[in-house]
Order: sequence, then structure tokens, then C-alpha cells
Amino acid sequence: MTGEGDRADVVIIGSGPSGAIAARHLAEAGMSVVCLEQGEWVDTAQFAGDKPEGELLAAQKWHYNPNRRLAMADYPVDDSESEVEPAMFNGVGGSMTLFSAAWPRLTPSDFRVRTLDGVADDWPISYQELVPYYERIERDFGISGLAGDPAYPHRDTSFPMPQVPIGKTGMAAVRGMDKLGWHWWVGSTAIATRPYGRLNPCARIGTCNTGCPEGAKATPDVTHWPDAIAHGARVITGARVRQITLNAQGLADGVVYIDRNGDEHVQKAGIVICCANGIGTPRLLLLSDSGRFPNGLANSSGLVGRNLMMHGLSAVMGTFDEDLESWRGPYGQHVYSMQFYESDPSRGFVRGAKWQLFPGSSPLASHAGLAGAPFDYGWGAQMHRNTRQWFGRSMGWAIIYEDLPDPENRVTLSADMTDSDDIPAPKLRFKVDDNARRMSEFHMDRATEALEAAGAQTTVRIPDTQMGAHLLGTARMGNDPATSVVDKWGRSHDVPNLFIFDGSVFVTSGGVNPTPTISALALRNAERIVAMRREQRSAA
Amino acid sequence: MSAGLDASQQAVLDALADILAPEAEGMPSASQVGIATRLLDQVLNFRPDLREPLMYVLRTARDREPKAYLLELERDDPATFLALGLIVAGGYYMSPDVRERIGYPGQDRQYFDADAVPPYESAGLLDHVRNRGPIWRDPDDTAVLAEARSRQT
Repeated sequence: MTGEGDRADVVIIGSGPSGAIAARHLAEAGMSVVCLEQGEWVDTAQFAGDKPEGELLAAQKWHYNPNRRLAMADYPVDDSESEVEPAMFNGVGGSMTLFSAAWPRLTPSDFRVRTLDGVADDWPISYQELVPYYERIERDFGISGLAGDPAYPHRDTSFPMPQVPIGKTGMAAVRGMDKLGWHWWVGSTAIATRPYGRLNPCARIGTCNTGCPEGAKATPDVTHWPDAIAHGARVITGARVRQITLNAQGLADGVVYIDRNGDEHVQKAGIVICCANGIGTPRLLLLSDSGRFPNGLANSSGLVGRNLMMHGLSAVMGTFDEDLESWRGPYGQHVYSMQFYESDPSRGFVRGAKWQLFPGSSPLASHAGLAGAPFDYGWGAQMHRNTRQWFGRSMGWAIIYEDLPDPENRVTLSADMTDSDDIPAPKLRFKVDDNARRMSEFHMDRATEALEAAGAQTTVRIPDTQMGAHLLGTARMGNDPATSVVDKWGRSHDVPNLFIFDGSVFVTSGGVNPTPTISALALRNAERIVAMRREQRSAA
Repeated sequence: MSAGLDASQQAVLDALADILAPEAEGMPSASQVGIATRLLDQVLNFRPDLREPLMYVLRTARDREPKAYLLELERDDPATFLALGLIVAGGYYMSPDVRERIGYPGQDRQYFDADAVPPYESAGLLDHVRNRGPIWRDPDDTAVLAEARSRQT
């Protein structure tokens, strides 16, 4: 142990959206805040998507899977028993650094799954309770979009900026949807379309998922951290937290972290907030076991790490005769559809999925051989034919289908894998259930019809993209301490000054990208801490 | 010498790469665009992690018939095969000549006027969606709740 920093009012573990929102809000309220981030600051100039080497680096340095990136900041994830790979990024700004920038809200029914569909559980809060926070974070992040989507309740506010262009791919897709009479809407995205704060307007480079070289995609290192730091918050990078510590009264009193030199430090604090994502947070709680909490900190319910939801992702791609310039961005969600989002049990499953349109992307991204196609289909003269058919002339519907919580899908500690600091790695067990499999099949059938209606000459189904983009549910919120880890304000039932603000607290996953909801919850819960600060118990 | 390869190693890589990316369909072969020289330098500069599998391939492919070797590698060591594939395809599509032939300017910038009327609005396509009305379920609506209860009983 080599050092102990000054005691802070709040220590936050993780600098992604929830950590950044909490830090900014708490610092602006006058609280002293220290954030520990195991990664580093990432400068926009490092993103190479607009350079010839961009695709090579996308396959490694900027890959979504930490097991492939193998960066100093990353910890390995044992996914040998998981049907999908984890997606995350460790650095200031968190996984938004590599996210697609899709910015949908959950729908009202997503908060009442048990009531409406008889499965899983209801959330302890409603859509309406989150609306004011959804609106505020849209302003804070600089969201572009178009109000009026009939898949959502009427909204009183417009988006801060007009929507992104949908390009030739989008126009082809919506003509197909129009023929079928199916819902579509223009994407709401965390992408600036005008100069906005510290964000530049989008230039349609199309590499949102490997970092935006234009500085147009909203990430917390740009949108939040400068303000938080201006109000006194500190970010310590290269700091890997290995334990949350308790005092004799059972209150969290700080954390132990390891710096890049391997030296241990203690950061004392009155409040501890975990913002380390749906894998990192349960890992840390399980690592922080003690005599008082032999099964992991804040785990009297036994639910820490359980109910992991990762949003298995399927897709259907189509090729077209016309030149769609399909390498152009935005990549993630220039058009989406909620046509089959709400439950209809006559389909043979409950719950639903959002579709988001993605362009066919650059030459390597659509290379069949590199995707594992048989030799004669991926290489040789066929490679050239594939490129002619797919490059610039393809697009797809990505299908984000809802995972229902299953206690057997979980994060535990690996018995035989450690990170570079010899801390046990998280181990995933994740299986896509039958309901989700049926849902995926149904949606792929419909997406195929949609692409054919748009004029696709060929379509290819991708039942399993391997990517588990969203890490949710592993420290769920609820009113009953026996069936949840935190209350509806993100506060641990067991440790009254320990909070969780990341996606771990989701009760169900919905079928949309979760970052807007994670962010809205973080803002709501941070405000609650400020409002209740005089009543808040904290370690002296 | 390029990327530390001698002439014989370059010849081995050229032979393998030309099976993966041959001269065909109006496109040049990998060797013709410099896969074992200038492009390899670029690839390994950005992906030094690919050097080790490349050197393994160059050691084990010497004196082998290229296509038979590649098929065997794909079957027995898919990770190394994919690493070689990434070197070849990654380098190939970095070639300015190849990019020009497939009509790829790279991920270039295209600025736009965010306030311009989008083509789907001027075509009235979004009005069709609006006119079909709301499609979300209101969990506080008594009719929605009654339907949900009836489904579950």
C-alpha cells in the first residue's frame, strides 16, 4: 500500500456515461468527487476511421471486445460459457467511445413487463417518471432526432438538433417499409448535426463504432467531464479498483485501487458509486466480500451477478443493384423501426425488438472470407465478385431483441483467469433463451421481407452476430431487498451509502439500446443524492 | 527488402496472396499491387501483432503448393489463416489502385445542411407513418390492462 488520497465526499468507479453524469452533477452541487478509471483519456486524433488503416485498427485496437483488444486498460473476460461476446471500452467516456450512438428511450410498456406480459418483473419506476430526465440528458449530450414518433407517447419537447441524414440506404429502406405499411422513423442519435457545445457537426464518416474522428459523436469525455472537472471533480486514470471497503458500522468507506505501476492506493470517501458496467460492477462487488458479506458486497439477496442480459443481436443484410454509397454514415441508426416491438403472443413469443438500419460499410467489414465463409466463397475470384456485389450496395437491419432475465445467466469470478494485476477476471455464463430465439427468427423473417420490399436482390440472415453490446441486469433495482440489490434510487439495500448507477440496475432489458436510460437514471439518482445529502448516512 | 522479408519470403507471400486475391474480374492480383512490399509495410506498421502469424506462415508454406497449403491452413489453423487473410485483404483494400477500381474514396467527409428538408418529408413518406397513429402500449390504459389480464388467464 503506497498511498492514501484525501477523503472525498464521493468516489465513483468508472468514467462512462453514468459516472460522468454523476460526477458532473454532484460536483456542480458542491460535493468533492474523485472518479477512478482504469483506462486513459482518448484523444479524437487517435481515431483512425477516416484513414486507410482504419479498418485494420477496427479489427483490433478499436474492437468492441476487450479480449480481442488486449489493451493495458482492459481486463480479460472469461466468456467460454457465453453464447455472445462482451462489448465494452475502458477509458474516460466508457463504452460510449465505441457505441453506435443510437439514442432511443425505453417505451412505457418496458417498465411493466410482468403486468402486461406475465413474465419477468415490473420496474419500480415508470416511463413517465423518467421523462424529465430523458429530456435533460438529450440536451446534455446533444441528441439529434425528430419528435413525433408514434411508437412513443407524445413528447412536449423537440430534440436539441435536427436528425441525421438517412442517405441513399435510408431512402431505399423506407421505401420498402412504406410499401408494407410498416413503422419506421428517423434515428435519434448522440451525433451532433450542428456545432453544439464542444461537439462538431457530423461529416458522415461512418465509423461511429470505432470512434468518431470528427468529434461529432457525443461521448462523456467531451460532453461532461470538462464541466465536472471545472467544478472540482478529479479523474484518476490507470486506476483499477479491486475492492470496496467497509467500516465497522457496515458503511462503505472507500476503495482500494492499483495504479499502472502496480502500487496500491486507498481512496476514502463518504459515498461510493459503482459505474463500472454490468460486468465490472458485479465483479467488483463479488471481489469485495467480507465477513459481513461472505457472498459479495451488497449481496444478501444473492442476486449480484445474476440476471445478466446482453441483448443478443441478429441481423439481415441485403444487396441492391443501385449504388447506395453504403460506406457512408452515420453507421448505427439512421433509420429504425418499432413495427414489431410490442408483444403479440400470437407470434409465439412475448416481448419484441427494435430494428435499426446500418449501411453495408467498408470493404473489410463486408468481406465474406474474413467473416469465416468457406474458402471458395470468401477468397479467389469470388472475393472480387463479392466486393462488386456487396461493397457500396448493401445494408441491413440489425435486430435488438429483448432478453428476459434468467438467474442462471450471470457474472461470477473466474477460478483460473486473472487480469494483469492478478485480480480474478469475470466469468460469463450467458445463453439466449427459447423465447428470444423464436423472437429472433420471427424478426429475421420480417426484416427479410422489408429488404425485399426495398428492392434487395439477395438477402443474408445473420442469426447470431456474437456481439453482446449491452451489459444489463446484474444488480437489479426493486423495492424488496430479498429480490433486488438496489432500490429505485440505485442505493444498495444492504449498504446505505453504496450506489450503483450503471446498466446493472435494469430489471428487464427492453429491446432498445440502453445508454439513454442508463443516463437518465444516473441523473435522477445523482439528484436524489444531492437532495438527500443531509439525511444520507456516510462513513465518517 | 520489405517489412524485414527477404526475396524468397516475399515470393512465398506473393504466391499465397495471389490465390486469395488473384487477378480476375477486372481486378489486379495482390502481388501486382505490392502486397509483399509497400502494402505489407503499412499493414505491419499498424498491426504489429500480425507479424508472428505471418512469419509462421512463411516458414511452413515454403516449398508447398500454395492453394493446398491455404486449404490445409484454413482447416487446421483457422486463426492463423484469418490472420493471413487480414494481412492480404487489409493490404489489398488499402491500395489506392484497388480503391479507385471499386469506387471507394475511403471514409471521407460529406458535410450536410441539417436544416434542409429531407427527401422522405418532401415525398410525404413520413406522413404515412404519422397518419397510421400511435403503436405503443400504454400500461396505464384500462383497456390495455384488461387485454393483458385476459391473455394471461
